[in-house]
Amino acid sequence: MKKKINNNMAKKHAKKKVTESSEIVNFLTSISQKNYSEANKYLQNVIDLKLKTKIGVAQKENLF
Amino acid sequence: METNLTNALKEAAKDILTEDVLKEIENAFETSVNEKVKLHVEKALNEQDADYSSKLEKLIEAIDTDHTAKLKKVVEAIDDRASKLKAVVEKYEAALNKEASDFKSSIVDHVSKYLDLYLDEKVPSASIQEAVKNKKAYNLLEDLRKTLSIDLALANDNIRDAVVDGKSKIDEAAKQLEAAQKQVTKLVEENKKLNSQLVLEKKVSNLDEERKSYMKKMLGNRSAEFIKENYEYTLKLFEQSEEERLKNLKSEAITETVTSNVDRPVVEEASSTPAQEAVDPSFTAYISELKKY
Repeated sequence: MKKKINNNMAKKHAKKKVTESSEIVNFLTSISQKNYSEANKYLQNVIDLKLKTKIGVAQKENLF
Repeated sequence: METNLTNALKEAAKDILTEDVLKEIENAFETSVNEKVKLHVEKALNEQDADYSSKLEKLIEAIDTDHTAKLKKVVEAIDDRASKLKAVVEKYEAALNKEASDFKSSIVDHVSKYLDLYLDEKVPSASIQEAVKNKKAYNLLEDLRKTLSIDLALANDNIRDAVVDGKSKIDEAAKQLEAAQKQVTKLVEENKKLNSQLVLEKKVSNLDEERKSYMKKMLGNRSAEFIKENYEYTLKLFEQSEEERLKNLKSEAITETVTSNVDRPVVEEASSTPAQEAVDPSFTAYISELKKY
């Protein structure tokens, strides 16, 4: 049961990582094509994902 | 040539031969000479042709050998170049496939790390943790407040004591009300029971004992309304059942009398004789013969 939960968490983490990296790739592609508005959106998504990850890590810590 | 030969023959023959003979001799000589020349020329041409052919063959062979060797060298050189080009292509393909993807992933990784550092600088992890803890604590307090039914007014000690006192009074009043309601219900039930008994007693007061006990048995546990509605009907039922009982007794007495008449032995003999006659015709003939004497 514990192993299954760990696997699910690893999969979720990997999915998040893939999404983050794909967003960075899109950001770089948009920058290279001088499409700055799209690049801004992708960078915003990356920042959001990073902040969410940090908040998720902080949420796992016990309050007391 | 012709003039020379003609002149030479003229001088040799000295007017012995005529002009025509000389011309014929000349013609014959020229013809034979021409044939021989032709033969020689042909022979020479053949020899030259054979010579040239052999030489040409040798030349061609030499050229072929040379060209073959040169072509071999060219092919080897092309093969060498092709293998080098293949290596170059493979290298560039590898560079495109692996190194480019490695470069891409490293670039992405570097950008990600840079953004992490930037975020750490601008929004420190400690601040995020503190904010998350605050939010969790707030949610926890909200849940506790909902669970314990505490609002901001209850947080004050005076109000809280008053509310607690009021709640205890309300609880006590609710208990008293419940007890009173139970008592009222009990009294109402008893009243209904007494009322129905009173109504039944009034109704059956002028009846004989048998009917009275029957009516009490049938309507004893019923309500006053039910007794009022169904008293006459129940009494009629009793009357009908009495009549039926009498009728049944009468019919039973009649049935017993008929049964005793049927059981007589004489009746049994009379009934058995025609049966035997019907069964045995010789017996009938024998009786009729006896009757004659």
